[in-house]
Amino acid sequence: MVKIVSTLIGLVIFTQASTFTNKCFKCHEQQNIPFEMIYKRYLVKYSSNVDIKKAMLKMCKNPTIENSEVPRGFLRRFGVKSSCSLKDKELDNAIEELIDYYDIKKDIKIKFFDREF
Amino acid sequence: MTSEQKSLIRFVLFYAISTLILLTALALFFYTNQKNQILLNEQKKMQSYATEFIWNLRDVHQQPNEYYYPQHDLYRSAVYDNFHKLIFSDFTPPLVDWSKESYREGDKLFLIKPVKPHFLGAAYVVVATKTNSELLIQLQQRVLVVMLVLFAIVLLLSYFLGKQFIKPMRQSIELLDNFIKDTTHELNTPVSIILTNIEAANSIEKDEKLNKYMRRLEIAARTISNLYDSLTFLKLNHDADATDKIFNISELLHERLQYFELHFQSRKLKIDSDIDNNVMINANFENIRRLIDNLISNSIKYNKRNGEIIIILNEKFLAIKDNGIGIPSDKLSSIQERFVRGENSSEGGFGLGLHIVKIITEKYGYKLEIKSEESKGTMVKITW
Repeated sequence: MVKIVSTLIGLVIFTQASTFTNKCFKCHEQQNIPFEMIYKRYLVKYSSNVDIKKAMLKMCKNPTIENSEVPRGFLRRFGVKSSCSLKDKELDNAIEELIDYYDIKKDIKIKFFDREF
Repeated sequence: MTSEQKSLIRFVLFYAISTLILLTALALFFYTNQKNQILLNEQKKMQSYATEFIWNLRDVHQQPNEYYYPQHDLYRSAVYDNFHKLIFSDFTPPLVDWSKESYREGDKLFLIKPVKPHFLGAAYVVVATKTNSELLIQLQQRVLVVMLVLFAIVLLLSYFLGKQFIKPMRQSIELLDNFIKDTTHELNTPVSIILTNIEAANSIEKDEKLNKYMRRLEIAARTISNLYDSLTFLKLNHDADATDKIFNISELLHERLQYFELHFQSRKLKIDSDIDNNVMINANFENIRRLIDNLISNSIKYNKRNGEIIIILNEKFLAIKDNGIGIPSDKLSSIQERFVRGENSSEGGFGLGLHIVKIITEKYGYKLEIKSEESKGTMVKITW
C-alpha cells in the first residue's frame, strides 16, 4: 500500500515538475536558445519576478516581435516563436519553474554581512 | 555704586547682550551652512560610489557563473526591485524613505539611486554610510572659539565705548562735586560767625519786635548751616570712615526737636510725638543726627501752615509723618536720588535730604519706606 501511494506521488511530482523540462527546455536546448540568457534579459528589463512572469506569459500567449525580449539577431535567425500550446495553468507553472531555476539572486555571495559602520 | 558706574554697566550689558544675540544668530547661520556643505560633500561621494556600485552590478550580472556582491569598507548597500522589495543587501537596512533622494537618520546618511537597466533585477540601490561626526565636532569647536573671541573683543569695545559715552556725565558730576567742595568751604566760616553772633545777641535783653527778627535770622542761619552740613556729608562722606558707637537715640531725637522748635513755631506746626525712652542704637552719632535733621527738615519744608507732624520712635523703627503737600506717585521712586526735589519750589533746598537719608540707611542696612499721597502728606519710616 505504501509502495503504491509513494509511486503515485512520485508520478504526480514528476508530471508537475517536468512541464517546463518536457515542454519548454527540450525544444529550446535543441535550437540552442539558452534560457539563462532569456531570463537575464527579462530580469534586466522587468526587475521583479512578478513583472518578469507577466511579460513572459504575454509573450508565450501572443508571440510578436513587440512582445519579445530576445535580441533582434535571434529573431532574424529563428523567427518569432510559435504560440504556446500549453494550457494556462501549465504555462503558469512552467514559467514559475523557469524563474525559480534561473533566479541568480539566490546565488549571490556576500563576503561580509552586517559589518559595523 | 555711583550712578555713573550703574550707567556704564547698563550700557556694557545692553551692548554686549545685543551683540551676543547677533553673534549667535550669525554663528548658527554659518554653522548650518557649513554643516550642509559637509553633508553635501558626503552625498557627492556617495553618489560617486553608487554609480560605481551599479557598474559592478552590471559586471556581476554579465558573469556566467559565480556572483559576488560588490562591497566597500566605508559604504553599505541594499538593492530593491521595482516594487521596493529588498532583493539583497550587505547590512540590515532600516525602513527606507522612498520620498527622498537622500536623507539623514541618526548618525547615518542614506542615498537612493535608481538603477536602469535593472542589473540583477535591481531597480533601486540604497547606499548608507556613517556621517563624519569628527568633522562636525571640529566645526562646532571652531565656531565656538571664534564666537568667544569675538564676544571678548565686543566686551572690551563696549567698555571703552561706554566710557566715552558717560564722559560728559562724568565731567558734569566732577563739576558739581567741585562746586560743592568750593561752596562748603566758602560757607563754613560766615555761617559759623552768623550763628555765634546770634547766640551772643540772644543773651542781650531786647524788645519783642527785635526778638522776632532775631528768631528769623536764627532760623535762616540754621537752615544755611543744615545745608552746609548736608553738602559736607555728601562730598566728604565718601572719604571719611565714621566710627560707630552705642548711644541713646531717644535723647538725640528730643534734642533735635528742640533745635527745630523755632522752625515749628514759625510755621505754626503742631508736633505730636510718641518717643519711647532709652532706645539704644549702634551707629555713627553724626550720621543719625543728620538723618533725623533731614527728615524733620523735610516735614517742615513740605508742610502747610498750621500743619501737623507726628513722630514715633521705638525699639523697632523711627517714623515721621506730616500732612503736607505730599510727593506725586510718579516721583516716589526718584525722590531719593541726588538733586531731585519735591514740587514745592518756593522752599529752598538742593534736593539732598532724602538722598542723604538713603545713603545712611543703606550704610547700616536699615529699611527705608516712603509712603506719600499728593496734598495729603508723607510718611517716612526707618526700620532697623
